[in-house]
Amino acid sequence: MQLQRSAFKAMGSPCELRLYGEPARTAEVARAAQAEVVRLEAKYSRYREDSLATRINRSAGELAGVEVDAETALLLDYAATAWRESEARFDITSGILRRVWNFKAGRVPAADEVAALLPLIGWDKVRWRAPRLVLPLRGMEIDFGGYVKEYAADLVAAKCRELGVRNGLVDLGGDLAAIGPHPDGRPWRVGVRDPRAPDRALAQLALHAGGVATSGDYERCMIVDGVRYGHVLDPRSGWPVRGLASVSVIADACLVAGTLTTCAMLRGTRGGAWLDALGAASFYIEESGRVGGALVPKTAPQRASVAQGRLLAC
Amino acid sequence: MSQKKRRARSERRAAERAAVRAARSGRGTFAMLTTSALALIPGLAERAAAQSQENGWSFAYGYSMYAEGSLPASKVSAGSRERYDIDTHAFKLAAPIGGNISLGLDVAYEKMTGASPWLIESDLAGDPVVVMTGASIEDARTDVLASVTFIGEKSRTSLTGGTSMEDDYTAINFGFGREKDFNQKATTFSWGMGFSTDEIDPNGTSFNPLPSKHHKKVGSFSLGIAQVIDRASVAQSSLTLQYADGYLADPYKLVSAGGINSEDRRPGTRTQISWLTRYRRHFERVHGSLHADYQFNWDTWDVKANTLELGWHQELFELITIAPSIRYYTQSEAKFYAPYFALGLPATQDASSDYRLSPYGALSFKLRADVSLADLLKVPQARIGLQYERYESGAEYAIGSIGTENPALVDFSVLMLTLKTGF
Amino acid sequence: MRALRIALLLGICALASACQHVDPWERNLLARPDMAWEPDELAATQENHTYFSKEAAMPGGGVGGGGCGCN
Repeated sequence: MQLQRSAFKAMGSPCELRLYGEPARTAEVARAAQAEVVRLEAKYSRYREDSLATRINRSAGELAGVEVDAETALLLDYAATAWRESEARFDITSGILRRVWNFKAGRVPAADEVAALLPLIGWDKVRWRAPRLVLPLRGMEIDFGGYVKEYAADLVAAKCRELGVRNGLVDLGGDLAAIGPHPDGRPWRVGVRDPRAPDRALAQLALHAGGVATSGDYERCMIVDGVRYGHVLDPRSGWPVRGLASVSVIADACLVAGTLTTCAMLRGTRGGAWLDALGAASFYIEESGRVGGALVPKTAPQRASVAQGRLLAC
Repeated sequence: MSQKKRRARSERRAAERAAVRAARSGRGTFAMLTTSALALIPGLAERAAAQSQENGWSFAYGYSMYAEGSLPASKVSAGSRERYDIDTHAFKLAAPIGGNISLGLDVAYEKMTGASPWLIESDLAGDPVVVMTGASIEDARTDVLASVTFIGEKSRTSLTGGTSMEDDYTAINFGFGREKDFNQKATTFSWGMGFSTDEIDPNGTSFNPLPSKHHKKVGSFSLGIAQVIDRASVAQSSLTLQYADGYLADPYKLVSAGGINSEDRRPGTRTQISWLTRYRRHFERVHGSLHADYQFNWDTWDVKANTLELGWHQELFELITIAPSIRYYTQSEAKFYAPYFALGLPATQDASSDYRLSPYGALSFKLRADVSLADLLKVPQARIGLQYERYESGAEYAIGSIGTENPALVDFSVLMLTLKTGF
Repeated sequence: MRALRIALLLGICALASACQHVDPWERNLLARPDMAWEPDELAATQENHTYFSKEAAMPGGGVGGGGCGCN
């Protein structure tokens, strides 16, 4: 069986499918998989005028709200569960913070700018009773971007399996879902980037089944006046979290893995201990350079070769 | 409401129910999120089955049709040549209480009709032939077993109590079992004890018109260890010791000695030891698993038995598993067994011509198909299974040579349907 | 038969020493229904009851449940 690789761009990230099978068949499967990603992007992207996400956000302030379909209802239920389990840290209404945080331009907002947005953030303010979603205040938004990519990875892997491909890997911008291990049973080797030298791998994880997600403060961050600001913002304060430089989790579904990495990042330095207490298969690197998590290989150094205060590439 | 909306609503309700149950059972964030994702991602229900089995509801129903083959005319000298047909309905329920307790209830109801071997006598050539009971006997059995299991982080303790009732028979049993995990659950050590007390009140037979009640007590003890060998294989070995005291004979059977028929007499005690070893190995490349079981039995009646069962479970299309298997069984005779005794015996001497204590071997073929309905119904453990088994016993299957085969050895076929669900 | 049993005992010991460490999240294969000791508990109980009624050997694998007046 041959390994076919196909790369494409979707959801703002480079994506790659690795499928084992006959070339003609895998090409067909790759096309179907890509179509699935495109479908999800068209539905949940806030950048598209005609997307469901935009329609929902435009309805903010209208008490009639929007009626959503089954898939969206399940995604909203999932977000509600994640919000509860993370004690309000995982919150899909926090997307509006991008209005004042501009990582590309390197702009740190003023305190009152952030404070002005806080009344519009909070899943407890949303009225969600299937199938009706109501955003009561004008200016509120639902952002699926925090978890739809991981969900897409799982769906694509399931679709490939449905179409007969039993071995392969789905990579949507770093969110991975295994269709199945290599045909001889070997796992997929996933590299964990060194957060302070992201072109280098610090460790390797073995993925047989399920999904892997990673969150890091080096993705979309900015350094202003010598202070690092990561893109993971705490919805309760509106400001970036500190504590973990990077965290990777392996779980039965990439969706779950992604939620766990986000929640861990949002707990700062206590995030690693939280994942250990859950019994999660994780690998985390604290800002101090300390490495931890159940997935740490036995021979890994206790402290990553990361010098404190070395604020290199961002 | 449209079909799609109805389905969407039931999918959501299922996910909601699962989330609420999970919260009530005190399970962690990990489990909560996975449960919430079940309805979203096809195939996750199957893969996450391990996690969701922690402490949930489960219900199973099974229906089995068992039919014994009729005996050839050459082996029967009198009575019906037809043998037993047994229809069984079985229910199994598990219900969680809080996060740490599980209640179980197993109920089985069985209807038996047919004739059974009564005694073995010698025909004119000196070969043993069986005298069967006359027209159909009809009997019903009800079996109830209740259990409470306390689930700890690394251990499980269970208490069981049950009863078995037939027209002429009553039994009460109690049991205790404990399992303890080591090495992050890679090793599990288990032990248990059981006790049962039985009473048989035989219906009058033409030989013994004034039947008397008989009692029996049985105590058992077992020890076992299960071990994860590597990510694709596991093995288990367990030793069980059983001691029975009381009336151990069959009041409906006679034995022929010196041309005279007298009642079946067996020792008042029996100690049995059983050693079972099992191995399971999964082959990823072919999506199939090998099952191998071996059991050795020894007892104080001189019966030694060996059982070897090999099966192959092949997964097809991710939802269906087909499993053919073969079982080979061989046993030696009890020390007081003979098809019939040429010379007369003292009334106190143990003697039986029950085919179940005779030397023989048996070969059976089984074919099983299981279909997972987990994704269809969005319920993690929904399955339906169908099984067919054909069992044949005879002297030709035994290890070593058998002088005389008991003419009442049985062949049977069983067809079983099971439905299982859990949430 | 005795030789077979000794071989089995040695086999078990050899397997035990060959055990690899398997982390909890790597146990996806072991959780498969076709890797369970009994893929169908109800069917297994029924089967064991049948063999127990028709053969001299008692079923192994632990205690629990009572006897019956099976003929």
